[in-house]
Amino acid sequence: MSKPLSLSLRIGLSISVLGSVLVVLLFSQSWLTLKSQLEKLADTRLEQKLDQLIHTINESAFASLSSFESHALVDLVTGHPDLGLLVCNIKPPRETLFAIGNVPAELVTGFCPDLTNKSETLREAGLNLQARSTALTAGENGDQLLLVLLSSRSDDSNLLAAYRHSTLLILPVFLMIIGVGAWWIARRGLAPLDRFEKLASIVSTQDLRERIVPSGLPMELNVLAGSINVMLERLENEVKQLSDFSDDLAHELRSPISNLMGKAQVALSRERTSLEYKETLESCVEELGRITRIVSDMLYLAQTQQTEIDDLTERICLRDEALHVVNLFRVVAEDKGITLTIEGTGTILGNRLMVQRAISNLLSNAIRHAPDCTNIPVVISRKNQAVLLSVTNSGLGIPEEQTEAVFKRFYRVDQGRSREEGGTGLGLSIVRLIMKNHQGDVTVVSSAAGPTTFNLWFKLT
Amino acid sequence: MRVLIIEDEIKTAEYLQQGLSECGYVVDYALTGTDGIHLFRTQKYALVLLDVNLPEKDGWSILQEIRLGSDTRVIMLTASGRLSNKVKGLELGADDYLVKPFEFPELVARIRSVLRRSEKISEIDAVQVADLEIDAARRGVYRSGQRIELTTKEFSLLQLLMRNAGVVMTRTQIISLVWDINFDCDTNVVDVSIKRLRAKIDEPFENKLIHTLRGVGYVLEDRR
Repeated sequence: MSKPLSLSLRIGLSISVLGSVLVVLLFSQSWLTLKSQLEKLADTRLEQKLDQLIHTINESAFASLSSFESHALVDLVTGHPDLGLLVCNIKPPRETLFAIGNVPAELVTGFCPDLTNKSETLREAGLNLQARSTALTAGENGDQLLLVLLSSRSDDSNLLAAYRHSTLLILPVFLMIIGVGAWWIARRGLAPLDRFEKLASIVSTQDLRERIVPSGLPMELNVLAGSINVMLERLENEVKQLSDFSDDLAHELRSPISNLMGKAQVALSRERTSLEYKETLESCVEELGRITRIVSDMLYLAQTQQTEIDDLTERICLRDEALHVVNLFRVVAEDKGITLTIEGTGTILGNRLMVQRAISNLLSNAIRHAPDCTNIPVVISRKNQAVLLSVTNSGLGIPEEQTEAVFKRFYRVDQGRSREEGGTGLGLSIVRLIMKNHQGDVTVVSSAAGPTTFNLWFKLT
Repeated sequence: MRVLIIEDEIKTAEYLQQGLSECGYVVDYALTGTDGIHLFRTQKYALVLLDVNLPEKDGWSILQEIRLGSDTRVIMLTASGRLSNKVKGLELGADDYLVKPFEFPELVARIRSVLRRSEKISEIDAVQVADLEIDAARRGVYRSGQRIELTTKEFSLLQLLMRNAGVVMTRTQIISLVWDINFDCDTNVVDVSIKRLRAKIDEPFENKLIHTLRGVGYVLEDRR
């Protein structure tokens, strides 16, 4: 495949093609106008002259044909070097009786041309004449005569030819100027794209900090630069999140893996009883359970990102689902003397498993943080065109400045504490993702002293 | 009963073979699809455990080949939990579908359930293990002839353990079958419930029936 032409060259070429078509059209149009105007002019002149001749003839009442060549007539015609008068018999054969002024020799000696129209252009055998003829009865014996007034058109032809020549000569120069001009303008117009090119060559996942400076850009490109900058901003944030996430993940997995490794190495370092081996294996399985939970939560996060809307069309009674989940946690709560209550009801559209999971994550969170012998109310209500499900625990709360951060992956308000209690650190991230999928939101209201309320906002159906 | 494992990951294949052999199955494994099909044609198997991602020939086409002339039970094992994959597997004729990583006891339970399906054994209402009796129809629990009062969930839990007497049940399985919660959830509800059940069933008696397998789950059996 041939190399594609540069944009400026392409614009230059197309503009010069367009320009040449226009210039050619313009020149031909003016040439045609000039030509027809010249013809009209010549014809009008002939008509006037012929009228004058007839007038003279009628006034002077000629006795015979010969007296036609009178001085007055000759004067009328020969005053103009390009005019000629031909007088011939109207009856065929139309022999020429006489000629005055500028009449080509072949017309003088031969017969009068067969002029059927009153006005005609003779352009044969080297002739270039405009002719106008009229019939006339003259003399005492009433001779029928044909008067042909001729006008040489060679001057007009020369003029037209000169016009044509000069046009043809100047045309390539014009086209060149148009083409080069168009190319130059296009190049100049596209010059700001260099900034985009430079940016694109710099940007990579390692370096997303570069931005396009929008000042001085034409308006269209300014808008483009703006949206590219916004896109880069978003990308930078996401990439940062992603890399933070992999850091956190490696960190999260490192400690259970090194525990496993250590435990196994210690066990293998000398002979042990089978009871001790069993003990080691059991501890390894527990540690592996933690890793498995983290990995499956992460898989869940990754897969839930791609949920299709089709999966979210189930009609769900929030009270039923809350009850379903509360039933699971009731025993655990009772163990701590905590009561779980459900108030209100509401219906939403969504995915049953996801909703259950979101409620379950909030409840297990609440039970973990609630002091013994308190109540955890699950309240479902309608608020501002949304269905709200809130779970409140009266334990120590989250400091105001950390309320947004609790939804981050692996974020823990109290480092280490919930890890011992079995949390993966992904529970609230999962809740947030589930709510995003449901076109809703999760918010938290808390202060350092508590209580803490997590709110699930669902779209009203 | 003979089980065929088609799995390219040798460690997985080996531990599955060991585990299932210890559960009383005769187990063969093949590391490639071609070997698997060959074994399948030369032996009569009650069940095939089929990995989806295999070299040479993938699990889907093997499943199709198996389904051409046989209705042997097939459980697909796969790393992808995508719904579309599950649907594809079931539509191609798999009997069950298990996403890796899975817990071994869950696999055993699935195998038992799939094989039971072909035998069509109806669920039994009354079950007895040692001197512990359960009567599902009347929701009564008796130990040494003594009636024991249980809550609804405790009863369901005991019923589950007794119906699967001698089989380890994992926490995930128990949560799914007793509480009908089908996702990983972060709670020790099973341990708390077992503790309460033990207090009523086992503590007053000398022969303990509910046993903990640390790191795996719980099993109810008469070990005396």
